[in-house]
Amino acid sequence: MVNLLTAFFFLFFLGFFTLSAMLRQASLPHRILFFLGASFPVGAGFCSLTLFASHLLLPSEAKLISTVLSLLAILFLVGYWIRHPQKETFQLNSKLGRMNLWNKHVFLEMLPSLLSFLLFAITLVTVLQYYSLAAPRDIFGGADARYFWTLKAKFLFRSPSEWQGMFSPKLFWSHTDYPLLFPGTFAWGWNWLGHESPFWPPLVSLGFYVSCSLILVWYLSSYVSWTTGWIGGTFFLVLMPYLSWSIYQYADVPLTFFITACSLTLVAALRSGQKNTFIISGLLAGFAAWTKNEGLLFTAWVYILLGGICASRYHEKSREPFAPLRGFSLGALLPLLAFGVIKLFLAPHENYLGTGPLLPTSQGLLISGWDKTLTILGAFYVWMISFEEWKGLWVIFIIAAIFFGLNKKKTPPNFAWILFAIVVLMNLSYVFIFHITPHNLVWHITTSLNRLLLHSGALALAFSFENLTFTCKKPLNTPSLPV
Amino acid sequence: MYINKNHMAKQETLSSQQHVLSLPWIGNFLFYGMILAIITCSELPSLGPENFRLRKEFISGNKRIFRVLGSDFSIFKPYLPLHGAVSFLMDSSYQPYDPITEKLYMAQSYLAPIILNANPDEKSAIVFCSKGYIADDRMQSAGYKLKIALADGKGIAEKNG
Repeated sequence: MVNLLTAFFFLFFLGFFTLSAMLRQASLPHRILFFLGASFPVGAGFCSLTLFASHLLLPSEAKLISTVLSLLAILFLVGYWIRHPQKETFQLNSKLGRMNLWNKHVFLEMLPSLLSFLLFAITLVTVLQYYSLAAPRDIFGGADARYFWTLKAKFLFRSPSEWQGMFSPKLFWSHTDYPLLFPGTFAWGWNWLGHESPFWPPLVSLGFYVSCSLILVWYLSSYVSWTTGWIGGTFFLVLMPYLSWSIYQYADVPLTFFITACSLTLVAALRSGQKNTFIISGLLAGFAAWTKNEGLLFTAWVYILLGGICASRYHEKSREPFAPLRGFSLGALLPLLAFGVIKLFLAPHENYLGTGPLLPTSQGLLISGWDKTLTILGAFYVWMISFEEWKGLWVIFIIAAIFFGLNKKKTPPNFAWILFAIVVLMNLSYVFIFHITPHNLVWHITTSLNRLLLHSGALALAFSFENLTFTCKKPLNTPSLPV
Repeated sequence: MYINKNHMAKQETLSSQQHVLSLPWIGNFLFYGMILAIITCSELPSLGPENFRLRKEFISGNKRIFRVLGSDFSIFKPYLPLHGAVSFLMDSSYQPYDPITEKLYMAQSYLAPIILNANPDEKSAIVFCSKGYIADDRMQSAGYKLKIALADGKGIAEKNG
């Protein structure tokens, strides 16, 4: 158990010091909360990349190289952190620091925040308790975890010299072209522990789940209020789909984290105009693609949206109009490069349209009548309004979108529309994919739709809470784009 | 001056009253009231006493309960090559939505990095059928003959000729 926790916190601190170094000159609000939420996933992302690169370059020594590289990286980053101390890391809010809680008025002002924090803490402890009871029942996770994600991890761990067997066309059923963030993290942990511990994958899955909640707390507390942050984080924790799919160790929860964190940091970057925040956002987008194929789709949409913003800056003759796009691309470079190697060289025989209908046939499938469209939209409707699953989140999201549309002219530009756009575009993409699916449609919808809704659910929550909180919004006192 | 100050104080009081009873305040009250009601009414699915026992074993790292996935396929391991590919014959040929394919997935999980080919293309094959006569039929149609019998319907086969 101690070794497991050491591996877990190694990833956390690797992510912490990496983010700390990258954000040294950026003034991200409530950065300690951001670090708490993003450190473990970023550490996992870097370790999986290191493992992949080691396997690619020197397979026979991959275990040793990846472990030594991770250790050297953290030593270097700790040294850097000591040489460049960042006091602001632990400053949540300068106003908060100056407040005297023993003053009655101040205490009453802070009471909603304190109570909502208490609610968040109690819910988190309850959920962790539930996770610790439910995870041992499905210790190997659900089908995808057992047969896709951990299978790839086993190839990486058991025989580094034969790891490329996972891309063999003979294993056509195992989605050979899937990216390797999740399997890489499993294999990295097993290398650290020295054996295939069945306890490591559930711990990794839990790390991503809690990170999702904390990243929502960071965003909402930074841009709305502390009370909204804690209540938003608590609302995420009571959404059963996230908890159950993390117990089943599906990669959809890590993907949710990266989609949410990338979008929220992108909005933060656009609001603050900090170049380094664009790099972090790009890195998180790259990790989304490095987690699941749907992450690549997400990255493409973000590129289109950010490209549009930069193009409008170009027309307005702003200075360095494409600086945000450059920063974003720099961050996304390494994970996208790794994914490109898999797609182009290691598993070029497998891709979604390659295994299924190609474009001319897809067009036929796409316009094969309204029945298919109605079936797909009906399925979306049924899943989205299920109160047991989503607790009314999607209805709240629609109300928030209407309210946002009505108030758009009254509020200053704050780029919140990006969150709305990503939620809508991601789900429209899934509607399109269901139209061209090579699988049996009903089977495909039944087995995947609820998981696909996870990807944009946390963003829908952030958008809804930000736009349905009518007062006390924190002012945006910084330029909206780098100049 | 005095009138002005008084007027301003009145204005401030009025504006703070308006703030308290304003539409935004009511909106917040309704929204957060609804969210808090949802949170407090949410319930986690119930768990039985066996979950507590399992957690205890989980924490103590009991390897007898938490066995390696696909351990049933350990009987084949001594007869298989260390690497390369072998075919996997089940009761029926591979069908993506057939529940029987889980046996293939489980075997692959246990035996990796050996590659299990669902098609009967390899020189050697693992035969994993529920009955001996089904195994005979499958081997005959795929062109294999039994080399090592390990249990009823289970063994290692080799391609004819």
